[in-house]
Amino acid sequence: MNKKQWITVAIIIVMLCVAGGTWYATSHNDDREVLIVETSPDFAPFDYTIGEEFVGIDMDIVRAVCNDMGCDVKFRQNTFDSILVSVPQGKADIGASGFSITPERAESVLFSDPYFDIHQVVVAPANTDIETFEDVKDKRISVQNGTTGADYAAEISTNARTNVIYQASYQSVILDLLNGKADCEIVDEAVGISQAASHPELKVLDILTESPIEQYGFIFSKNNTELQERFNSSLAKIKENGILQQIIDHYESNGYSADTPSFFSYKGTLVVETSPDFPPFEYMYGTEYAGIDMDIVRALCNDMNYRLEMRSNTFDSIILSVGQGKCDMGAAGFTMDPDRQALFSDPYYTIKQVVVVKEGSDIQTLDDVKGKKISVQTGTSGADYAETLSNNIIYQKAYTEVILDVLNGKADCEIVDSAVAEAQVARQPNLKILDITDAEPEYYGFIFALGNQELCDEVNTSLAKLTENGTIDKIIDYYAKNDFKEIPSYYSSQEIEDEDDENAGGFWADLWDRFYNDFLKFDRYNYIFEGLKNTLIITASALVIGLALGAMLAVVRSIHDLTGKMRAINTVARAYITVIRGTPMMVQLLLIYYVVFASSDNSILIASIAFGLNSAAYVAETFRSGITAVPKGQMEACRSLGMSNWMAMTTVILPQALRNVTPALGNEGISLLKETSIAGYIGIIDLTRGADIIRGQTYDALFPIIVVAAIYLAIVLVLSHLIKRLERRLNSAY
Amino acid sequence: MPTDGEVLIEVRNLEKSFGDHVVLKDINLDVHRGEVISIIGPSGCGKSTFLRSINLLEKPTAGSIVFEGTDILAPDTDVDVLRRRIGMVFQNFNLFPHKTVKENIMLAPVKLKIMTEEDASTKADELLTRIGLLDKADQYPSRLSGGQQQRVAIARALAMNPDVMLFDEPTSALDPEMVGEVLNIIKNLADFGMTMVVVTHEMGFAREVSDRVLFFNDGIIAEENTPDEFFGNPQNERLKDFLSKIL
Ligand SMILES: Nc1ncnc2c1ncn2[C@@H]1O[C@H](COP(=O)(O)OP(=O)(O)OP(=O)(O)O)[C@@H](O)[C@H]1O
Ligand SMILES: [Mg+2]
Repeated sequence: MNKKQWITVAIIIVMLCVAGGTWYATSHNDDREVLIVETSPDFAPFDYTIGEEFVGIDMDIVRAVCNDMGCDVKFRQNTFDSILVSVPQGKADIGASGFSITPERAESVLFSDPYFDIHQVVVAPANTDIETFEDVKDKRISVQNGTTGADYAAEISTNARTNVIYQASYQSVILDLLNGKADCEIVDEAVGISQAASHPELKVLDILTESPIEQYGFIFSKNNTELQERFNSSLAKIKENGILQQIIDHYESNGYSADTPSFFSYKGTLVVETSPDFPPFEYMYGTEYAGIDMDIVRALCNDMNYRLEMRSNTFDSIILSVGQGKCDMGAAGFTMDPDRQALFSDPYYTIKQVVVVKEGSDIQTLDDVKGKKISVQTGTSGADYAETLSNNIIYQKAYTEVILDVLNGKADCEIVDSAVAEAQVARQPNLKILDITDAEPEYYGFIFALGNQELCDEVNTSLAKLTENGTIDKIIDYYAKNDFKEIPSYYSSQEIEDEDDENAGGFWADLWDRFYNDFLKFDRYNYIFEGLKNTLIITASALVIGLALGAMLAVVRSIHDLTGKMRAINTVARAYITVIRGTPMMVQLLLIYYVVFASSDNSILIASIAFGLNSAAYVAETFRSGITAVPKGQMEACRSLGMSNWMAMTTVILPQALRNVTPALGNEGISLLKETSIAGYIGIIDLTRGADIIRGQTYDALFPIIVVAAIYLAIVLVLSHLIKRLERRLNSAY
Repeated sequence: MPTDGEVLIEVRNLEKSFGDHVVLKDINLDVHRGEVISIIGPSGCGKSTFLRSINLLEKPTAGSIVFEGTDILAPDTDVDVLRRRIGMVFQNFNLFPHKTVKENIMLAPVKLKIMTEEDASTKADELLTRIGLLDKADQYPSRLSGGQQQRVAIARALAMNPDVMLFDEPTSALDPEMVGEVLNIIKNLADFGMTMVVVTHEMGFAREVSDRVLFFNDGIIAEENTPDEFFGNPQNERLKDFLSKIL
């Protein structure tokens, strides 16, 4: 890294601080109302999570009520006890966690009108001897601390001090029952049924007829009567129109089990591919997709009631991917262009091409640009336009590299969409925008497979609605207000970090900052772990496929060499080996991903197969040379004993050949490991791609790449060592 | 004596050439059950080629070989089944280096499902006792001397219960002090009535053990006689010359 890049990093950090400050200042007088709802999601069927989604009766009622009140909900996790503290303190607006309405609690919080009636039941192992209420009294009872069940257990137990076990969560309570540490549990009816549904070794005993009937309510801060009133009136409305009952019925009809999806559960999953290196439209904020496109897609899915799954791909590949149905929709700032082999939604953003140069550039008019060295991102409309101006064009795969070209003087200017240009200039003050092109303004649309008119129409309808109600403008304003800098998503729960640590700390402190930024911030090290995992999986599976198939090919080839038999299979095998060894691995990978397995999207499996098929060709030739090295007399001895060619090969020749070729096979494994570094091209996060993603986010190439190189090296060293040991073992065997 | 026993192998007008090079011109021979035949002749005269033709390790170019009534050159003959009945011992032993001595012996009978694992094991122990190497059962061949290896190779062939044994210079690769132990095993087999065809340079052995001795020269059997006549009163000029050089 040279001095200029150091300064760039420093500037980026300072600007992020400024941006953070600005955002913090503006975010607190935002006009949209977001209610923060806290819950303890271990209380199915009322409160639980599926993946990252908050689900359950409470959650859905809150959703329905807030929808009616016309405000957004942000769910947050907390422990049951702590919610009773954070709501009164105003840290959360609403507590929704199956709170029984009790006079004690009513002293510190406001309750909504009740939404659910409940009584207590006993849950015990299926073979329990508990039959009546009397039996419970002197049993060991496990309860969750702070619940009505806990109070009731203490009340009825003959020896509450030793026989009632107070646990912090229901998981622990259930463990007590399963491990025999407690004889039974006292719990709300619906929860008990849900527990028994997911643990067949438990059963529900509805024997606590004397237990207090209680009611659940949501809680608010003591001084938030305004919210309480609004909430209650909306709650009354959803009771009246039957939605509340529908929600409860939905969970009941699913046996209150903890994998029941939300009542508002989605029509399906919408798989959306994007190329997250195109701020402010799409980029990664930590591990989160952020940007205008991403947020519009989120708003659309929300409105259309789809679960959203976002995926990364390269810009060029998304169109292909959409066409093959590997994803439903592409959202990557696609300029609407009749030439593109895709169906376009209505436009959601209008853009024009501008020229970006370094401060002090002599480019002033469009004529100056002509014939200059222009850097562009491959496949963008900026690239097409640049081609009309000059034939000295640098095509880059990512905007991060385009900027670097301009900054390093490798290109005289870049041509880029205006919104992107603004984002870039916001980050790089020594760049400036020249609004001098004569390119027609363009419109961004989402893309769909050519035949998928249905989804396209659905999105268009929703898009019209979101434009009408101002959601789209709100999203774009949010980014514009922040100078199109890389900030968290509009819908993110993350806040812009205050980076008040001024980094004038000298060389080591700078290094540490970079290291922190590359790996620790936003848990970026996860990219490396994920990458390592995938690299190892692919290498190992490919090695197994390669060895098995390669040995088979080698046997066929050798038997043919020896006897002239198996002509047809041998011809196929030879052709296979020739083709595989005669074409680049990269091309084979793309061929297998996009052509052979076009309809599958399990890219790890596909990569394993592709690398395995490739390796097999090399393994086959290695094995064949090992077989040739086995003395001819071995085969003759076998044949003279009446063994067939195949049997002789597999039981006598191959085992000896294996020993001959172990070092060569080991090397094949090692080169296979290194070759998998191109797996990123089909969208897999392997070790190399992991480093690349971090580099794209932090603009720091040094650490991620060196760390990844070191990991590869370490694996190779370990493998070499293992191979040596294996070799020694084999050589001493006979 | 056994010349009037049942004919086990009948060779007629056998011819074998490698490209233009005619190695066997016209070989005619009947091998009777229980008979021991020795073949001698100068290097390169086709002794090995002849022996290897009998179990089809080489494919003859013309002529016929009938083994136990089956024409082995007929296209529908199952060569693998045929070879089980013909044991072969090579000059270089060709033991399987990655198997122990006992595994070497058991491998084919078990893999070919001729014997169960236990039967093959019993048989192997029996054979090892017979060749005096029971204590080496679990050694790898590389730990054995040449003579010991060749004895194991003989046992490996015998494990298949063959009807005839072919030996191709079984002692040529051995140090002189080990020749005796191998020849003793072969003599012992002869005593038990095993039919054998032995290519050898050990004239003393040929004279002592054989029922008939053949002299191969120029692709034909140039002389064929009982050992006493063969060595005591050779007719063929080339044979006389050959014997004078060797003895
Ligand atoms: N596979 C082959 N291809 C071509 N020529 C061969 C082949 N095998 C043997 N020959 C030739 O056939 C002739 C006979 O070989 P063969 O091995 O049968 O001789 P031999 O009598 O066993 O000699 P020795 O006493 O040296 O073992 C030799 O000239 C040899 O070069
Ligand atoms: Mg020979």
